[in-house]
Amino acid sequence: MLNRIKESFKKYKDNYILPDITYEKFEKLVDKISNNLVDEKFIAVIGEKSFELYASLIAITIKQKTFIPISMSFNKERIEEILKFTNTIIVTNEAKDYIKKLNIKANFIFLDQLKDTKKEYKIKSDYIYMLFTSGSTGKPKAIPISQTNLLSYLDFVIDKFKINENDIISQTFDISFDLSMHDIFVAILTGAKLIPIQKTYLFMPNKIIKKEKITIWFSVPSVLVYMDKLKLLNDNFNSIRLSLFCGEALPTYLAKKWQKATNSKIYNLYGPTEATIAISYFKFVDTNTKIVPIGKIFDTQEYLIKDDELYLSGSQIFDGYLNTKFSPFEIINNKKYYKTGDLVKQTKYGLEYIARKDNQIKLNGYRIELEEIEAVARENGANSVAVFDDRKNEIVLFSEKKIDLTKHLPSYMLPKRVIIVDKLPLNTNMKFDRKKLKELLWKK
Amino acid sequence: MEKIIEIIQKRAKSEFDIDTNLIQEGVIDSIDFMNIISEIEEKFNVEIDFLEIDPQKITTINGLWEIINVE
Repeated sequence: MLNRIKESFKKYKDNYILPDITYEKFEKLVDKISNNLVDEKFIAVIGEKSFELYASLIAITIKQKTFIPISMSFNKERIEEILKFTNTIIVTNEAKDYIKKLNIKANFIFLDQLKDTKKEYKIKSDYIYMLFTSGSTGKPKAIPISQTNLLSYLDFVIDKFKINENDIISQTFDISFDLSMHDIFVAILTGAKLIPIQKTYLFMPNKIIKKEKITIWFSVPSVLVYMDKLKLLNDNFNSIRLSLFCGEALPTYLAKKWQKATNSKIYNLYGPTEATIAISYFKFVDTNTKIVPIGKIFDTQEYLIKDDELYLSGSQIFDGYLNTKFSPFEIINNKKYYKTGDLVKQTKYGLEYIARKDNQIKLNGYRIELEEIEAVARENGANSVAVFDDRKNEIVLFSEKKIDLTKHLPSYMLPKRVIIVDKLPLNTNMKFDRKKLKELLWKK
Repeated sequence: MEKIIEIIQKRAKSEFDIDTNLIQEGVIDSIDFMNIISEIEEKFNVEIDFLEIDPQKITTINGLWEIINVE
């Protein structure tokens, strides 16, 4: 990785990595930061889609240490969990006030106080970055991603999508989300330009797309939901040649609207953080399904399906969690497989995502997906979370609105009770907190 | 403007003033923002043209107020 980055800096030194920053200028800051680190295996970085943030991540990478990205939405508790791995946080200028307010004890490296020195380090790590699971159950698990993992992914997608130095790539993902590593590393290895899109602009990216002539769009499908609501999908974004979506289910009607607005090739990607960014793709065509399939596993990786669950193997699969003994692996025919917990089915279009295994229950002999009940409730205008009460052996629906599903669901899937709540609780990942609701149910 | 503040107050996760960027500062999340826009369009009987709008503006109370008054 180190050599690939250095080669890129040399080859593309006159290219722009950001609208006003050349690769040459970028390398200078990377170099300076890399000589102001401490000799720890892990180093945390806090910031938000900036020149300094990207340079900090790459500085840690070229010194063969592991970076842990911290989002500016993390609370004290979550940052303290990260500080079990390192004592040091690099603080970019935009994050200075935020970190001061949190009153955290750590060794801070402030980027406006860097010295002109040369520093050698002894401690090296095989891991490029480490992220944490959202932790819908229990405490967040630490996921380390190695050089081999990341390079396997990057080599596959750069070749598959023919990404090159003329590309102008959107950077929509928060850095605590591994999809942002796609943006940053793909750009650096190809000499392409990155266009950071801050939170405020993510609802209405139409002007930025046009102004910067973005050629590769990559975001969560939610962005399309917002743009559609604000009637921005009637616009025309003809600079975009390739569109990638990942992180959530991609609804077919939105993919169609986006296709009309961009005339680009659209790919739906899928992959758990443990399998490095993404591991399957589907080139969008209308399949007459509500949700776009997740398609085909990358040619370089392997998979099998056991009891509907997707198992993955290959060079993109991580080594194991660093802060728990829990093992997500199973050996089958002498090969180590990662059990994703995602239920899928094989169709003529490749794989289709069904649901999370944790949310599948068995009731009176029927297999029921709790997420399916919620999807039907949503279609009928109610945000809801379905919970299975193991003690009473019944389904309970927490809903923000009164709702009658008798006409819309087969009787075996019907919730026994509907509990109306003012507002459904959210977890740190901004998803409805099923675990919390289940606890609530048990307390009653 | 009080009506707008009231609508936002219902969903705010932290303190804000009329020039706070509600999204960037994490006062409201994206789902709430969409709901707030629908509620404002309904209450003030306006339809906001998002094609022409500056995102920095519509995410502050002051900016929202200005936009509604123009529409």
